[in-house]
Amino acid sequence: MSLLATRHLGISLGGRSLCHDLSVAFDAGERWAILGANGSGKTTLLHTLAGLRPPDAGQVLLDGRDIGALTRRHLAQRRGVLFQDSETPFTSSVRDAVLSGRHPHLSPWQWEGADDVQRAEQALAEVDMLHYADRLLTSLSGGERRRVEFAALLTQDAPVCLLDEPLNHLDLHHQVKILDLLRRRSLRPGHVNIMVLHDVNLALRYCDHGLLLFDDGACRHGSLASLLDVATLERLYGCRFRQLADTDGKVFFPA
Amino acid sequence: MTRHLRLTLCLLILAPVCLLFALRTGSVPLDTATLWRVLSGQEHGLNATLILDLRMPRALSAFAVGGLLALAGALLQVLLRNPLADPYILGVSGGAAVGALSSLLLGLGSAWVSGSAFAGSLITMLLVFGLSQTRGVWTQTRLLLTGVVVATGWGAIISVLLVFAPTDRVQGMLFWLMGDLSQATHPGAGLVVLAGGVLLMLPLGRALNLYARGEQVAAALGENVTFIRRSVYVGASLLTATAVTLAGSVGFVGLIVPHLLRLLGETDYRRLLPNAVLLGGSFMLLADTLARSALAPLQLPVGTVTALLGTPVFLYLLTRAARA
Repeated sequence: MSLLATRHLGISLGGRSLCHDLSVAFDAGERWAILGANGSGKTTLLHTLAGLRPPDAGQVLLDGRDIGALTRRHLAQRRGVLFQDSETPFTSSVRDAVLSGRHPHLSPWQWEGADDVQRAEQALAEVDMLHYADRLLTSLSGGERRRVEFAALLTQDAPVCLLDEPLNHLDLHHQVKILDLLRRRSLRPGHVNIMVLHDVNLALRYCDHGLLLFDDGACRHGSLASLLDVATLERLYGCRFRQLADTDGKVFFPA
Repeated sequence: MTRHLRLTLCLLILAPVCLLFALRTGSVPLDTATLWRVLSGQEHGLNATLILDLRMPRALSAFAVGGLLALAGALLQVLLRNPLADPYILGVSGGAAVGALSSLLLGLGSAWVSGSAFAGSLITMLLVFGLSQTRGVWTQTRLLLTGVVVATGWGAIISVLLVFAPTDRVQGMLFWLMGDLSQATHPGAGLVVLAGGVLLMLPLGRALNLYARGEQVAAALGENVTFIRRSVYVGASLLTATAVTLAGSVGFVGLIVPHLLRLLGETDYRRLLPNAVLLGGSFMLLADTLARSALAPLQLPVGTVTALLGTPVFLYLLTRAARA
């Protein structure tokens, strides 16, 4: 049984069909990249997979059960979401923000305990932010705040992770560091990562499966390395591409 | 002892100190010993009447109003995700004012004034909520805009009422608009609503922490955001309606008390909400005592005192936080 799967999934937004009749299985140990041009529906698809938006047709299944039938709390224990943008009109300490990831694991009246604090601090250490644990969110740079959001996701400790452009605002060192971290997580038993990415080459390096959303509503999925070639990328992004042969495999860049 | 515990302890001490100050101060200053004899039932007579019938009900009303407004302000700021939100931003007080001022204009009794104020705020609450979610679409901006526009509409009606009011009634109407506790002789309902509000909103504390990080984040972490939104809206509106019915539209408390606590380092809603009640209540007690005693026998509307006291304190803390 797949961790997460779609069955004849159809999504439309504002009268436009973003994908239809999509049946795909996301299995344990896999790392998926969702690729597509701006406005092709990547975020909407990710939110639908996360159970945050009802599908317009078909079903999303988590652990073999319809995602809409699961309780919110159970769902939050099984899948975590990193959103594209964060908003912080009211500040809080970095530690408190990361601790909020424990919410689905606590009973209604329970306060975070020593174990939760330890998980949060460990997650902060993994993204090189532990020394800022007592700082206020509003005092951080965009990339630092992104790493705090990521630490909150790690603290939530959900086996199914859905990430919307996780590399936004990150410097190159932390882009690679976070992708490495995600790869290690996906190797733990029963874990899967699905992320929306814009960097085709990082996707090739860190993901093994791909789901391509084309502007005309077409959708292809499968092994990422076999999906990606110059012709497909040119159709996907609507611009010319060149391919370089690298010792590690293929490298693409827009011409 | 943690910083958070220290803050709550300070506020727990502040509230009775302010109450003591309110009970002792007035045209007949009383010492603490007299106060104790009256409260323990050993002394009857003029002092007892003064304390039990006049100062105590007014002091408890002041505490209730301050607590209600601060709690409502904290809730609306997180609901609208807008630091400028105060309990009146969505027009609840405007509706109450139109009700109360119409009653004052017609020369009706205080029960009518309270009743029509409460009715006016409930009508506004339903109107704004209904208009802001036509066709099921709901955004903070839409709610905020609907509320602000409805509030502006009420504001125009208030101006018309003031223009047409006979001169002898205008002062009473202005006192109501600025917020005044001299008619607040029955604190019971206010205190009950305040206690109920705290008890019903506290279980939402941890969810509100998530909600402050964003509606999507709260949903992804397992919260029913529609439920939170509706409970917070209805809760904050009822708290505001009760406060306005008791004391008119006292400004400033609902806006600055939650911010004062944030500037003092309290950002967790599980502690912020009860602390806001304590600080708002104490602040209002202090302001009302000064309002009736500072220029005695002249009485100031308490709303002017809250603003005069609050502005420098708030600006001081804001600049201090900016430097830190």
